[in-house]
Amino acid sequence: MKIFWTVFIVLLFLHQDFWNWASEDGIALGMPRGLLYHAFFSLACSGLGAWAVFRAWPDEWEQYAEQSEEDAEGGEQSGSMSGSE
Amino acid sequence: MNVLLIIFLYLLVLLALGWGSSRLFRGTSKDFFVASHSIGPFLLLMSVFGTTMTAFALVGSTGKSFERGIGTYGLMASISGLVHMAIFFLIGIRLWSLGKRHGYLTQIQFFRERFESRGIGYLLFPILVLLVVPYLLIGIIGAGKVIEPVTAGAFPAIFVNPTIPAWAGGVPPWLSGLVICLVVLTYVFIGGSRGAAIANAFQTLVFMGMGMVAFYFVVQSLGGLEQAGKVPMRINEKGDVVQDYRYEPEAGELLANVPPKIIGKVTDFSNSNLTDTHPHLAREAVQVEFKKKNPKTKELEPIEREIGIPFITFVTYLFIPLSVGMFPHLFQHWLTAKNARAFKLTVIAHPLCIMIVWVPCVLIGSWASGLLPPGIPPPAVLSAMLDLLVGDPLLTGLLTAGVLAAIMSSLDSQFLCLGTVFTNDIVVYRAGKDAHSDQKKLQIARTFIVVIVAATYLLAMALKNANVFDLAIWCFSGFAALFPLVFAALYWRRATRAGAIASIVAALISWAYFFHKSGYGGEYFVGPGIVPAAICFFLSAVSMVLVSLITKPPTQSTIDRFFPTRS
Repeated sequence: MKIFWTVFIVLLFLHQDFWNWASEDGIALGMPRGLLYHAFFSLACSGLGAWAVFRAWPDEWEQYAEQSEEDAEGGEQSGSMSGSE
Repeated sequence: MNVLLIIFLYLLVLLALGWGSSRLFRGTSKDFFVASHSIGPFLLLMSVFGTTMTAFALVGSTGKSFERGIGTYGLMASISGLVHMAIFFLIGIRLWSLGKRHGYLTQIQFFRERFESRGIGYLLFPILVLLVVPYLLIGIIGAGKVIEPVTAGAFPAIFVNPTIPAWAGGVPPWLSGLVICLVVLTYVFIGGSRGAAIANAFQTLVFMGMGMVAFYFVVQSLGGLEQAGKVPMRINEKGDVVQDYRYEPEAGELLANVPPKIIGKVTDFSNSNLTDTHPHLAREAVQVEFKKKNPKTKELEPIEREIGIPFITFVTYLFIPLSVGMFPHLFQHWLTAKNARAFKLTVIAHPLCIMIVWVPCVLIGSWASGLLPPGIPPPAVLSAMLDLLVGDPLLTGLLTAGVLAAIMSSLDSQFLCLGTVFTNDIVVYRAGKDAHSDQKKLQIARTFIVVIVAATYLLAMALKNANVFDLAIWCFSGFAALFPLVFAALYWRRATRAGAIASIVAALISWAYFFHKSGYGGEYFVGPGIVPAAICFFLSAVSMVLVSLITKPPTQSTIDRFFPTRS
């Protein structure tokens, strides 16, 4: 999750693209630079989502939801579930 | 009439879908409220995306870009892609897990147990209703504003009192609002949350598809993407704002204006760097004075507008999309998921879906600045561009169906959510879990949904001239201000009941203060351009932390119940 949070904060910074602020140059794919940059930013967000799904999936929360209350009582007496927050 | 026929057919398809989904209804209240946790990845993605996108997605984005330029995409869309994705992953899955495990149907049930407080439910209920109702109004008012102009002239003998003379004979907002409400009510009433999810999926595909179709035809008419990029309004060497092109519908051609048509003037032209720039293609804020014809006096009146976006506004806008973490209707959609894996597609594809819908609309809005009169109301920009560049009733009808799809895919979830919240958090909670039979609970929910639809419809008619898009931002701001509540509930063991109440009260008071300062729904910024949601969020978060730290921590059993994983 540290990687997720780090990339999230980097993306938050990259979102404030002040270096493109006044520029309308460099129209590519029919889009001005500022818009094209943010379209790629959307792709990067999707990429972070894909990374989270494949590399940081919260299996422990999935298991927790599927456990019955009875199973849980036994489990909780013997400690807590595996995984990390 | 063609336009009306397409809208009519579209509504019939929706009713048929509602009827079809009602055949899958299992007859239990759990099935009505959360589809018995049976919704798979694709339906979840479509219903969550359709719910978070309102008329704002097609009509609002185009209008905002017409006013402020391409910065609209970064301001509202790309940041939403990041924040929404993170919320689905960090908040949605945990809430789904806790909801499924402990049998929650509403947000309030979760907060009551997490914060060990009955009162928090009674505090939150009116606030959530207060914030959802404007969201509903956006849809009903927006539908009226879309249908009347596109059906103008259809019934000249029947509808003789149009909103403006040019729309004479068009279906009036009171009728379109009524029909929309009845259609949504019907499929929610008979199909519950599964019906809403199936209808949402269909409607999401429709509005995504229609957005792309509209974009294709607009680009074709402008002579390709590259040529279209030259169309936005330009600032000349004297500081005049000019339109270099015009579109001749009869010839079907984009022609150069010789000399360029002057439509306004930069109010402070000391910055010579602005010469020969297209302010809609960058984000540097530029104040421009336009002339607008007064429809009554026929005289030209000055209107001042800021094109571009101040940097501080751009930065602080990131607080607005946090609102999805507290949308009660989205909480309910999350709970419909069959399993946690159903979230995977939503987490990955949501930013892409936003991009597919918003990029074309933002481009159309910026191009429109070079072709349409500057005084045109922003919500009318998309249909005006289609009318000018395409002028085909079939396409106009399909696009109108797309806009209605975006509107109704949010309305249904909100109506259903209010029925669910009222039934479970007020009626059943007060009477006791076993006081009412399952059938009785269904009956109460459906009755409340009918009441809320009727009340919202009447309110929408009373406020039909409100600026729906500014109202939407206030609605989102209120939910964003409450975000620290859900985040602390899930991630901070030390968050206490008193801290939660302090957080809610701080959010409510600060939001109400700024809402009042805005003149009850207008565009409003604090100081150099800070969005009020940022300040409300900050006050709410600080209240949560400070009050929690000085009050008694939650009991160990509550911590074990809500933080089952080892940290």
